[in-house]
Amino acid sequence: MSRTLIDIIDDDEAVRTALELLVRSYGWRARAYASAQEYLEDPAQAAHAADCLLLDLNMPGMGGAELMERLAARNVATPVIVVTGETRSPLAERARRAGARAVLDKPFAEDELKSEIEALLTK
Amino acid sequence: MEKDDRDVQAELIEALELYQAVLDTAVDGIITIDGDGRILSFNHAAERIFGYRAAEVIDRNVSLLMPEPYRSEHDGYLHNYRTTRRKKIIGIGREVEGRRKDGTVFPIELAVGEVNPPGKRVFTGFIRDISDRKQAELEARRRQDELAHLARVHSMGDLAAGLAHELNQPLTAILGYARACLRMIGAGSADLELLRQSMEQIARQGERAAEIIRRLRRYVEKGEIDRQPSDLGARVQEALAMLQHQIKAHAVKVRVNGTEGLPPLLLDSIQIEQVLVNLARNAIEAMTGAQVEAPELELVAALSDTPLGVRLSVRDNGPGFGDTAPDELFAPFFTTKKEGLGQGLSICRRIIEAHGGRLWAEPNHPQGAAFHLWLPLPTRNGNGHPGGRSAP
Repeated sequence: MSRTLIDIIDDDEAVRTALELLVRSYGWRARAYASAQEYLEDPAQAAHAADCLLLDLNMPGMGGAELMERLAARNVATPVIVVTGETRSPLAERARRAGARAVLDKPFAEDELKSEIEALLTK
Repeated sequence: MEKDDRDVQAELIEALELYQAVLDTAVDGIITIDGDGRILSFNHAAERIFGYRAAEVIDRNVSLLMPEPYRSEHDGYLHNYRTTRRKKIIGIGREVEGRRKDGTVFPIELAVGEVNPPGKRVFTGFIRDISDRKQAELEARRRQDELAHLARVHSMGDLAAGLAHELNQPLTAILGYARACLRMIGAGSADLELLRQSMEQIARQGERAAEIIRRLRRYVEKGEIDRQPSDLGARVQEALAMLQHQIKAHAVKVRVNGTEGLPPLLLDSIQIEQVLVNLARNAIEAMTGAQVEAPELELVAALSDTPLGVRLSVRDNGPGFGDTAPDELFAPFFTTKKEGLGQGLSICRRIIEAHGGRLWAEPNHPQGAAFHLWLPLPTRNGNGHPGGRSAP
């Protein structure tokens, strides 16, 4: 079986790159996208689904919650971990309803991200 | 005959005593002086106000009741009046300072009258101690300043969510890079170039956070108006940047027109940004509060020639003013917000007027609210033109 693959969507370049580096430092592979559209349009992503999607909510254009609803409509089952600055916002609530496995606060605590992803993978 | 004289004398004394009693029951201090400034009479209220007994001051120069510079100038005033008859204070009330026996200086309201019995010149001074009123005025002004500050901090509270979000981004990035670096070093797999790049990113994100804090500090600091040549268009961009989070969160469509290439104005940039943030935020809150389907915020600037200046309009397609007359919005403590202090617009108007400009509101067409502000172009002597009182 191939190594664990994590997709990251965040419009903030610094956050996106840092998450990518952090995920790689855990020994996993990572793909990073600057927007929900870019993610949906990536053929590599369509061909090979990731084990987990790390998703920002507040993004220009299509937001994270909307993307989750679209993925659900297409029966895409990739588990989603939301990483957001506002865990109690209506958007976060919408993401939970759309099936987010976890909603992490930005910035998240040490190893919180790692343990959430590991919990998903062992299920 | 003798008896009659005695009667007249008695009556005179009685009349004098009556007048003295009247003077002594007066609330105001009443002092009479002769043409050279010597004190002729000093009533009870004057004793109370200045702390001198009448006997201590009668025949002395009235200037002892004054602090400098009045004290040394008073003889000169009297002399001038004798020679020129030009009245500087006689017949008019004026706020000056008095000096008590214990040396303390206090504000008084002084009215001076002139009586001219045959062959004499007598001036009457009516004195009211206005320390309490001054104190109250000062207190009121201080409270106003505090309210203005409070309102800024309060609108800051609204912005705090947005700023916290802005800060979370660089912090998340910094923590991500740092933890990744630590893991790479710990695993002995550290690629020096990758570490260097990551450190560089950490520093850059630290700077980004610091800049957000600086902006926050600028925003909450109390300050006097400090006008410098400034580009109104840049102020609009700054204001929108501060509201970026709210704009994004509520999917507000923002249109900006005519703000480029405007002539520089003399502005206190921070205060003007505060006004713009307030107007734009009010618009956004009004639209989202009314759940407008496609909220639109429009900022349009244009030169206006009569009077010469720049006009900026902030329009929204929210619910508008309803039954409220637009001008009522600017009254202090007017608010439609549950947690509002109702200070925002009144402060905005004060700021714009301090710039010699005008701020007013009217219904927007076909719907919503429109706030217009007009700011004068700088005149040649470097000051903002105070402008007309009417709206351009």
